[in-house]
Amino acid sequence: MVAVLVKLKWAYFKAGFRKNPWAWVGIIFGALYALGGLVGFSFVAVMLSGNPDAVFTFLVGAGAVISLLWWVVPLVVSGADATLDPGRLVAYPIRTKDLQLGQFIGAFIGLPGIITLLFMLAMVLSLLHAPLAILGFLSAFVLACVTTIAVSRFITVVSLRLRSNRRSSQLMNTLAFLLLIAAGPLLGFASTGLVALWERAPWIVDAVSFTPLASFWGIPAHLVKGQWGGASLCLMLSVIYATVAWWLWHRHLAKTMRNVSAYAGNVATKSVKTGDLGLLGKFPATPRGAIAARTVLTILKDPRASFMVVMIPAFYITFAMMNSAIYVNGESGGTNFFLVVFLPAMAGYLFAYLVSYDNSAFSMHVLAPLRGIDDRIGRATGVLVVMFPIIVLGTLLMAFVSGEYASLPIMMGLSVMMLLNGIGLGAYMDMVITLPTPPPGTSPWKTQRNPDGFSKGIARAGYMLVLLATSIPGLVFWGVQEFTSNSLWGWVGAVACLVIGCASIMLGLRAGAHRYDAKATETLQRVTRAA
Amino acid sequence: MTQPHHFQEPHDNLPLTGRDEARSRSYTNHDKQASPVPVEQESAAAHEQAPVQPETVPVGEAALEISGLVKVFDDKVAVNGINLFVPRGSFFGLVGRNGAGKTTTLSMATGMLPPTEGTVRIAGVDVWSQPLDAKRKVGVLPDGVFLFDRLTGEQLITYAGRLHGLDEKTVASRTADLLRAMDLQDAAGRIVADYSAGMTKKVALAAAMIHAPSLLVLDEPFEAVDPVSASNIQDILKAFVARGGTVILSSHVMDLVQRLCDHVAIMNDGRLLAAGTTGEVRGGLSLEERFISLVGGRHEGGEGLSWLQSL
Repeated sequence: MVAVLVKLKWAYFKAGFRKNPWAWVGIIFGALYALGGLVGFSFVAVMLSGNPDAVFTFLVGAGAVISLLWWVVPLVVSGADATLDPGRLVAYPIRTKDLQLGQFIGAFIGLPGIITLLFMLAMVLSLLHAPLAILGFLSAFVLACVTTIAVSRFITVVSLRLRSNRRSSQLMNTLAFLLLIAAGPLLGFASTGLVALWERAPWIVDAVSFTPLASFWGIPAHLVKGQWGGASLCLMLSVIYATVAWWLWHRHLAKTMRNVSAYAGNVATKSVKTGDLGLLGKFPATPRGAIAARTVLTILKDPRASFMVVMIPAFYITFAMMNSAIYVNGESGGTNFFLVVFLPAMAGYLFAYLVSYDNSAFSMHVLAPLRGIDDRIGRATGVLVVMFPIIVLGTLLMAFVSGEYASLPIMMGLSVMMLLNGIGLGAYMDMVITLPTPPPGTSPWKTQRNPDGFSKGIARAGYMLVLLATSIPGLVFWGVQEFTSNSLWGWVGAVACLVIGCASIMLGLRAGAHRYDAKATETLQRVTRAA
Repeated sequence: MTQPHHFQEPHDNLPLTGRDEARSRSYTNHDKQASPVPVEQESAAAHEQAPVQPETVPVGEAALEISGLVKVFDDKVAVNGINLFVPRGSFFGLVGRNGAGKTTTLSMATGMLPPTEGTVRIAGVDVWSQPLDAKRKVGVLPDGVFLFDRLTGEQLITYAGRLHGLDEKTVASRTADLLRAMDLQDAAGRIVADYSAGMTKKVALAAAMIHAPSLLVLDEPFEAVDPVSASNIQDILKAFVARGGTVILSSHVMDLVQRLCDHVAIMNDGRLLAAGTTGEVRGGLSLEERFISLVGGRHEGGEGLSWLQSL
């Protein structure tokens, strides 16, 4: 039975490459990237091999990082490995024990599993000068595989249960996004802070060597230093950790297999009173008003769109923090282009994703006697209601942090213009191309295969470039202001930006409306097929 | 008196340009080709050579009129030249196997899917040249589409009403009525994502009815709906027809169609095999027997599964 499951996983892995050149590109680049890393990693291992203290830190540190990756990834990527998902296999008479073993072996099929094995094996290179420790390494390798995978799968099973509740699932997604955004500054802090920590507190590494993160690597690590006591303690702890992790995983897997349908997302969210139309009651009772209200609801509540609402302010805040640090050092921030051009443009271009997010629910618009202009203006209003305050407040924050109030008019003009340009372009483009998005109700992390193929992908990138290029007039005015130190240029530029922005949103909405009237049905077929 | 009419037509002759003129000149010109409901030999196996191209006889005004409808997806012909006349005030059932082309036909008839060829008129209005006027007259329940399920049931019905440009008061009172009629009052404030399959069907049906259309096109309306709700919905639809409305529904459940519908059309492989009043199409058999004899594809039950037995 275990062999059948592993074969299934292998077949699924292979099927991912059939007729899909991008999977090949992905795995080849991934493999090259990993091999490069592996060579560097092995080199470090060999270099350190003479120095027992360094080897100790290397084994425990690298081992802990590998474990940590395996523990955290399932939290972020839901259903990372759905092939041997109990939900799909529960109808078959499979013993939990077999499924567990199948999932364990299956974990090593695929690029992440193979890379992990190679990195773990490469760690032995640091022990070239300590043959005795190599014996310890063998037991460490086996225990590391068991514990890492067991804990990882245990976390997957538990997070699966958390995710069955829409609310906690959204919360986890938001947290994950925030973590990702914060990763940059955190890494910056880590690279400077960690070195200091390392020098001051080697005991932390020592302590980590007894935790489930790295106790198995503690065995050879302590042996290298000649610490027999530490090594035997690590061995004992590792066996206990592995057993407990395996047992926990088994228990929860069995529980999940008994209750598969119970985690299918049947947790009712709160109900509002009859007659309470929410946002729909706050907007005008017209087609445009209804579409605007519904668009706002989609942007705020649909996790596929709401991450933008979290991410954009988070970018402003993160960069404001970084910039304040940079300005203290007397350097100018190189982030302005990103914040003043790219971010507002993306906020506006969200429009182009809206119909894709609707998916086949868009049929309700197509079936109604709805004019294109009503659909376009309704959606544009919805995007503006959410994004305009965010962009304006974010730009104010930037000016406040940098203290460059003289640049505020042109920064504000540019930001607002890019938001309007993004909406204008999006309002036309969504009737021409389909942006691949996950279907409603699925994780926003789910990668979506591009339904249009390579050429359309290139075209999409081209449209983004065009959008970014529309910032050039504003940037020129900004440059002239900086060069002449005359803030009048900024004011003139801001007015010019507003005029351009208003013109492009009006043009985009009109052209989009025209195209909607002619092509809405074809767009419906396209977004439905993309699901 | 309506009679089922079936006339022969060469396969490669579809769709005919100028066919509309012929139709508008006189519907009776088909009468000389009229034959009884086709016999079995003409159906499943034989229609390659001699396609049966039956159609209902147009009597009175049409709620829906389809002529020469063709849909080709890439290289697959999903709908292969359909002519259908749905009289106003009829309760019309469209039956066929999976993949027969029912949903494709209904999608083209309601302005969701552009046909490759052919025309569709709803109450005389061409769906593909005057889409907005046509869409005001028809309410559609598509099968298997997502809904805006982050809205509550009440919001969704209201949203549909507003998309149709109805004023606030009308939308509010009709929404309340529809919620009551569909037994959804208790769930009105819950988001549609939390609804069961049957409740979702009902709220979608309510959204399709809010603009008081004269024609309802329902794709699999009773799928996953519980028996009590199904009976209630049937009562609503019967009352709608009694007041002069027209209902077209597709279904796999022959007994339901036989009981509910006064007209029926049988589709297979993108073509109509028979159409007419339910009594005429049945021709003394039950609809299910008639359907199977026309469509074919049955084999001896349980043959080759002799090992499948309880001990």
